[in-house]
This record gives sequence, structure tokens and C-alpha cells, in this order.
Amino acid sequence: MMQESSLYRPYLRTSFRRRTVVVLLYLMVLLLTAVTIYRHRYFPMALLIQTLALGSLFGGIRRGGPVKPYGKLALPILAPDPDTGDAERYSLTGTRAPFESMLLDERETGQRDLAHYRAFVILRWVLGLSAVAFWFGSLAAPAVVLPGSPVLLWALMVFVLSLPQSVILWTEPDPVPEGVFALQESS
Amino acid sequence: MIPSAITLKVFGIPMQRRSTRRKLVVATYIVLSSICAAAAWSHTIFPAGMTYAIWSAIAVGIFIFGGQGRYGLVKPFLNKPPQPEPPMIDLVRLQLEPLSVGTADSSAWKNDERELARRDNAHYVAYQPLAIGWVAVLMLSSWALHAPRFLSHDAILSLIFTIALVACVLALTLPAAIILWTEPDIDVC
Repeated sequence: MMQESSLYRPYLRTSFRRRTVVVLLYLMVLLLTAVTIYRHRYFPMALLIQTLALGSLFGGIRRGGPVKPYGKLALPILAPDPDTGDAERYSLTGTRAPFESMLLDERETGQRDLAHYRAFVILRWVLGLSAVAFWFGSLAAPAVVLPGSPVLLWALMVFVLSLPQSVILWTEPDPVPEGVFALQESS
Repeated sequence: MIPSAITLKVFGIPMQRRSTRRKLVVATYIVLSSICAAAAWSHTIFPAGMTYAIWSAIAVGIFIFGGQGRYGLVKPFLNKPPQPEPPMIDLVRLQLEPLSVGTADSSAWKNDERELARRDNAHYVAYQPLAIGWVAVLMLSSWALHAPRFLSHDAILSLIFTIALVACVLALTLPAAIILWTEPDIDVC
């Protein structure tokens, strides 16, 4: 599910680093939310651009992030059958074009769907809890909470957009070190 | 994804056929949309209407569509066994059905590999309109900060509340509705 890119792969190799990046993103969103509410200065277009930029930072909903873009299944490339010359036969070997390597295979599609299921479960709780927190906040400190509601909505939006990708980064297992299979076979 | 073809009934109507299930989904969303529209129309004079719409969606999700618990048409998404019964019930069952004791009926709650894939894919499909709805809410709220003359703040606020309400209703019901909509006919034999 991770992009085979030289830009991200070395830095996000271990699950510890990936989880640290996820935690840092949400800490940054929390900090930005608090600072924006405290300063009482909102720029709607800037909020919108920041939302889309931060929400898609991990990829998934766009190309270029550490998570592969969610798309259709990768089909094997078409190649003519050497015996019959039938062009409809799929070739399961050979190199693929760079764009095709970015598409998801069956296992990755399953991972993507599972991540969305987990994100959905988390989101239900978060939406419920934030509605209750907003209600209590608007009763306890209306002068702070009500004018800051667009910024709170912005933070929620970043969370909604980035959550499936964060789940993927959080749950992606560490790569198996080279030589492990050889050791298992020899033992 | 749907537990039992024999007991598959809602309000006494058998739901084995996909067309019947689709009619149920359409009818349910028409009712929910009416409740949301009524709540949005009267939210200035009767703010509690919003909560009624949410409660209706929760009731539909639990008792009609399923997926949230032991009731409803769709199996629980959690894929965990239900709470163990008290020992007294086991004793009664031991006397009535000695052969069935120890063989837990897992078909009512356990999803196989295909059903888990269907569940996950339904949630993936359901996540897209939800995210689009929240983007629309954010755009409208950003627009409301510098509202044009021809549209009042109250109108934009009503629109924001309505879209947020619809997004909440969809978050509670849409994955199970997608499964009911796409699952093929169930063979009773």
C-alpha cells in the first residue's frame, strides 16, 4: 500500500517512524487550531487550501503521497498470445509502465477497504464525541467556541480527509529483513 | 453478509429478493429525508428536531438495516461473538437439546472472508460521499464568513446544518444500505 518512491520509502521504512509522522500531523493540526482560535483571525480561502493540503498530505486521495492513490485494480498488461496471436490474453510477467505500478493490486485493494472500515468506525465515535464536546463548549464558553466553529470544522475536515491514510500508515507492517527466509530455510 | 434467508423479514415482508431490499432502502431514505427536511425547516423554532433525525437514523441502523448489533438485516460488522449466555440458559438447553450444546451457532454473527471483503468495500464506498459532504460544509462555512448580499447568514447556516445532518444520517446508515442494495438474491432452498 506504500508508494515505492525514493522520496518517502527510506524515511517511512519502520512502523515507528510512520506512526510518529501520523502523530506529528495531528499535533500540528491541534496546534494550528488552537492558535487560530486564540488569534481570532480567519482567512477562509487559506483555511480551505490548508484543509485540502493537510488532508491529502499522506496521499491516497491524490498522487504523490506516501500512500498509493486509491484507484482501480491493476490489470496485467495486454500481450499477444505467441501461439494464436490473440491480443486479448493477459501477460502476467514483464515490466509495467510507471503509472500501472501505482495502481492497487487485489491485496492492496483489500487493505484500502479495511482501512476505510476502521476509519469509519473511528469517525463515528469522533463525530459523536465532537458534537457532545461542541455542545458543552458552546454552553460553557460561548464567546470562544461559537466564533471559532469554522476553525473547529476545518480541523474535523482535515481529520476526515486524512484518517484512512493515517490508518494505513499506522497498521502497515515492517518490511521483512533480507536474509530471514534464507535463515528459516537453512534451519 | 445477510444472516438467515428463512427469518429475513422486516415488518413481516420477506427480504430474500434484492428488488424488495432495494425498495426497503429507498423507502427508508425517503422517510429519513422527510425527517431531515422537517428538522432543517423548523430548526429555528424547534431545534430538538435535529436530534430526532439523528435518533431516527440510529434506530434505522440498528433495527432495520443492521450491522450495528444483533438486530437488523445485515450481520454485525464487528465479527465478534455475542455476550455469553448465563449458565442457567445452558442448563435448560442441555435438557432440551443435548446435541446442540457446545456447538455454538456462529452463522448469525461470524462473517467469512467474502463477507468481510464486502463489509470493507461498502465502507470504502460510503466514505466518499461522507467526505464530500464535509468538504461542502467547510466551503459553506468559509463562505458564510464573507456572505454575499443576496444570501442571508441564516440561510447559509440552515444549509450548513442540513448538509451536516444529512452527512450524520449517511454516516450511520450508508454502509449497511450499500450491502443491502448490492447483495444478490438469496436462495431459500
